[in-house]
Amino acid sequence: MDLDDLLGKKLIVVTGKGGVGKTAVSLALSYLNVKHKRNPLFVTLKQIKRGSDFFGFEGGIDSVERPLDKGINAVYIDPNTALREYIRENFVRLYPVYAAILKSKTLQTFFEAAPGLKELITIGKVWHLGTRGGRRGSAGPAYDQVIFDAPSTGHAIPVLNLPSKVLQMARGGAFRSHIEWVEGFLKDPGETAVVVVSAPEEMVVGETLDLIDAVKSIGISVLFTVVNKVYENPFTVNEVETIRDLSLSIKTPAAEKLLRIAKSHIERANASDKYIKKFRGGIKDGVLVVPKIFKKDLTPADLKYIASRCEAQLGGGI
Amino acid sequence: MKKLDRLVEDKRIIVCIGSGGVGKTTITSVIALEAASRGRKTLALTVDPSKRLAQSLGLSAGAPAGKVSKRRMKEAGYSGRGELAVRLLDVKKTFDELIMKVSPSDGAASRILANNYYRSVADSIAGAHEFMAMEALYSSYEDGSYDLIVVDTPPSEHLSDLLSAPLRLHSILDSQGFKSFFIMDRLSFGLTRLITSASLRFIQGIVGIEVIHDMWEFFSEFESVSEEIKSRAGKAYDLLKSPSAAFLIVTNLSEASINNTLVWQKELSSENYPVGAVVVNRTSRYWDLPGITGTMDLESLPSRGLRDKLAGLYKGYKHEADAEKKALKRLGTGYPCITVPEIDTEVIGLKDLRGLRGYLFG
Repeated sequence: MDLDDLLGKKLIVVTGKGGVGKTAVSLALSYLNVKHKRNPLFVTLKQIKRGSDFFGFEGGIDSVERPLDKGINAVYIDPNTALREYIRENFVRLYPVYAAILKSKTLQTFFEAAPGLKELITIGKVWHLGTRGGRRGSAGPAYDQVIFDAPSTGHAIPVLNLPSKVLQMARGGAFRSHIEWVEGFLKDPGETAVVVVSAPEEMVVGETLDLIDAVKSIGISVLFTVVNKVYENPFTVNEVETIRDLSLSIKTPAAEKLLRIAKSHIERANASDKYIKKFRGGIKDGVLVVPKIFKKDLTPADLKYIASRCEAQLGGGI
Repeated sequence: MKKLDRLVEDKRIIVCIGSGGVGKTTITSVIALEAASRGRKTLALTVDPSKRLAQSLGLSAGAPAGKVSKRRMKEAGYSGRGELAVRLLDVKKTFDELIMKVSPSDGAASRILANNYYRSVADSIAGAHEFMAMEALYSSYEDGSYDLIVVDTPPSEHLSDLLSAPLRLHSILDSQGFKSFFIMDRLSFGLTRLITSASLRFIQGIVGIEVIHDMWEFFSEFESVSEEIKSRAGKAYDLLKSPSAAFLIVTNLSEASINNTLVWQKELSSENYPVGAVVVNRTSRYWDLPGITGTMDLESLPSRGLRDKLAGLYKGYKHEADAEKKALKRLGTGYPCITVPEIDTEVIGLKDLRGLRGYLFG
């Protein structure tokens, strides 16, 4: 696993348990693209309204691709809209019939009752956005890489699992060929890879290892796991000892607090270490460690810092 | 009595809701253990405990149900008066049991259970997970063996996913629309016919005739159980709105989680669901840190480098704590708000869970 491996993929699917920092890592990977003069597209399933506090980006993310920051384009995909577009492009071109079909309650019901349809069409759209042509003055695709900030584990596994599940059911029909196409690019390790985001906590570690197994058993390649929010120990062995000695001798209340924080931080750093070792033991595809940033809301500068930390741990380079 | 004491002594049902990753399962476990130790026959219905927490709760690898015995509760420092039953939500199994329970005959039940559509995708239909969480709750309640059921719900961003799931799923499954579609295709004329035929051809074009056939067969069969399922869902709602139930919103102080909590408070109260409290989990323990100048009496330290490192660390924790205090203000005071600070070790064993009880109970 090196930087070329990462940047060489067309689609990176970022997933993990809720609350581990998938979006921050997805954006950091987008910045990594920019740093290497590449043109990434960040795709999310959550609409970000203009002016909402999203990593300090003012513009928000809407259903039309537009720059989020210098060099990064971003877009929000609404599964319902994607479904409508799919129908329009593939089946019904006659507008009045298309409009009437979409309104039909039966069809609405059908879409609800046929799980996976929307999700699979959404993944198809993610791929399509990244690979279609369109860059000005060039015959190549519009973007070098699509970074898909995917739903969290609970939802991701069923979705990634859907192609084969639906294929069992749908023995004919145009959707079958759509699914085969989706399976084709999801399972091509040269084109698509999953990046799993995790955190050094008991609850998260187990779920992450299960997720990685599940993704692999579906036949999709996992590029690496980012262990995020890691407590790093800034102290040398000698300093740790000094801190222990000091806490016995210094008794002023303020200093006591300071030392207590330091000791508790060291304890957490040790726990983080233990989980990172567990990851490294259980995952062959590589583990990147990203430190906890002591801020409630991250800024673009923090995202770039995460990107540089990831880069430093990836070998190779262009 | 303070904090949550009343709830665990009086209520029949406590539902914990919250975004993913806030520690719902942990809080659910602390509450259920407390209720059991106060002598109430308690069931904890949980969704996705970590492996080691599951073991602590008596769920051996892969087992769907278990219990925490009197002896183990006593070892962890509880009174040893009660014991706690624990069940893991299994969507497919709950769905199967529901079908068997409400089918008019064994034949009808087995036809649904054997249907290709039901078997492949019924448990992945939007809302199935939430619906079955409610069904598992309701059937345990109906069973009558427990004084209190504490429910850990699937993480949801939209509360409506959880609360309207039964009705939404029901309206999908009980689709008169879907059936009338086929009939209309045969009987209607003119534009209606054109549209229905086009829609039908379109669906066939997408998924193929076999799927249509499986779905058609399923929906026809489902008619026989539809009313009963709907009435059960209705009863489950009534139960959740009754005074014997309480909702607990579990949150942390991240922007996203606070936003969800504020929306849920509104939604719950406008729909008349009883909210017991908001539990703010894993807050910083350093809310009372003085400014950095107060810690500068470390001049005696031999190394300047160490002094700077300590100061940097202190600043980080103080920054985090200050941001949290500000965030907490946003939560407002509409409901009792209980904060549970983060502890150094992870909450894995019964003793760890017992260590948290002091924050929730008097």
